[in-house]
Amino acid sequence: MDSTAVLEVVGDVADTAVTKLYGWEGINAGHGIMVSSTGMFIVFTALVSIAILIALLPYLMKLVALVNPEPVAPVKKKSPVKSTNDDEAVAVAIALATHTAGKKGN
Amino acid sequence: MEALSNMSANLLEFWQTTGFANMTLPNLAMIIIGLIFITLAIAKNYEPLLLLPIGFGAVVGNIPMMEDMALGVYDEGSVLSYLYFGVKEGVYPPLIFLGIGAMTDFSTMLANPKLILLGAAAQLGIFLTLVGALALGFSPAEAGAIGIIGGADGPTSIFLSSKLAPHLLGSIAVAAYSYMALVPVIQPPIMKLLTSKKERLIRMKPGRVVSQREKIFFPIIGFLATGLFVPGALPLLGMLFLGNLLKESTVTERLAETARNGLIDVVTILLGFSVGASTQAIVHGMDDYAGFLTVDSLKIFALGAFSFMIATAAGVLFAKFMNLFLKDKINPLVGAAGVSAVPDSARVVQHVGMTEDPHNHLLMHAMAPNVAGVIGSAIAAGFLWSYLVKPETVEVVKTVIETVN
Repeated sequence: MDSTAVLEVVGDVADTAVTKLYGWEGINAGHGIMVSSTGMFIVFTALVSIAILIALLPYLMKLVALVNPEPVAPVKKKSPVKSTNDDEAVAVAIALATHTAGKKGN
Repeated sequence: MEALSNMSANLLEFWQTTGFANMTLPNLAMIIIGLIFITLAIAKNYEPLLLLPIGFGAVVGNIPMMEDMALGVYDEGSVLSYLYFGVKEGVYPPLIFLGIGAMTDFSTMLANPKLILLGAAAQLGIFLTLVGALALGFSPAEAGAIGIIGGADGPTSIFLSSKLAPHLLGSIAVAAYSYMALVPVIQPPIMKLLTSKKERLIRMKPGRVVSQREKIFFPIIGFLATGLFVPGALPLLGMLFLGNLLKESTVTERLAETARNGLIDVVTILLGFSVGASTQAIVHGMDDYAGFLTVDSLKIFALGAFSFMIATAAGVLFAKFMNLFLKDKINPLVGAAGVSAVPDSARVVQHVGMTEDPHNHLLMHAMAPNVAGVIGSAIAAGFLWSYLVKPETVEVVKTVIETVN
């Protein structure tokens, strides 16, 4: 790059830095509408592509599962006797049993 | 008698070095602002993890400093300048993203991927603010750095402004964190204004169950999709997805634990404090830094409020737009969570939803656009960085500097 070109570009940079443009003039000079619409387009495209990939994930998982099935968490066996923490119910049951045993004794 | 006179002369000399003697009105104003931040953090519980270190940093940074002593963040070789290095060079934000990744559960987003679009729509706040900043006389690079406040993401704002407009970093960071703290105040009126009672009462179907294997695959696929698209966002998205992979892989639980607790806490303290300390009202020997209290700072604060409002409105309105095509309707309040203040905006959605129907729990649905918003704002930052830093300009400036030297 020759020195004239360098000075021209530096001059442009300096002009932009020194001259403040306002309103539509500033928006146009900074290509505001173009930058904003391109930016929104890129953000939407990137996030839509993620959304599509996520929507495809379950199918990918099925393919992966064909080669390497997902380990199934061991199911805990349920105790045949239902445990309870209800002390009052236990007390009632014991009382009933004692009462019935007492009646039989009589 | 002579000893007494010497002593008084020494005391007078010492007095000249004290903060009392050198106190200026702008310094005092910034100290008061710092104290307001601390009060908001402690008394109102507004983003205390951030506002407290920032507020205290602002108090520290605005104690008047002697010209020939290296004390402040802008003084070469000072201790504070080393702490500020992480902000200036954009080191802290990716580390914070690592921690965020390690604490984020993407399963709500994986269960209902269409909600990701709300996170994209809310990024309109960034780009309309950019236009607004250009209209107010900022240069394109400055406007890009200011616009990112609309992403409602403190680390992303700091990262981008350190690259595009380092001289505005303090104002941008303080504006971003202040408005993030004010999300519960800013968002509800806009959400209520743009929705009908019937819409606010919409109940959403719970999402499908997501397998652990999907959660492991997502950070890899998500990173490849976004990283290849916008390489400018690599430092932020790379760390975000790495943190999430550490968490979901289940084989690196120790590293995930450190990233989401110890590391993020340390970096938050350093980041908050040094950002606060960078709000020096007066800086000696720096011609390109006019201090914090300037008209530009006031404009940035106004634009920051505007950006949060636009982002919220865009999310809500886009949800209503999506409802035109959807069979299972989205509660439009959820759109407000596209503003990526995690998890505050999701909490606001839950709160506003519950004031209409105490049994309508929207939090889990709102987390999907919320985390999508984090990704969206990082993508926007990557785009703005790559677009607004023109390599040929940098090259020319380097050549000129070399020639002059």
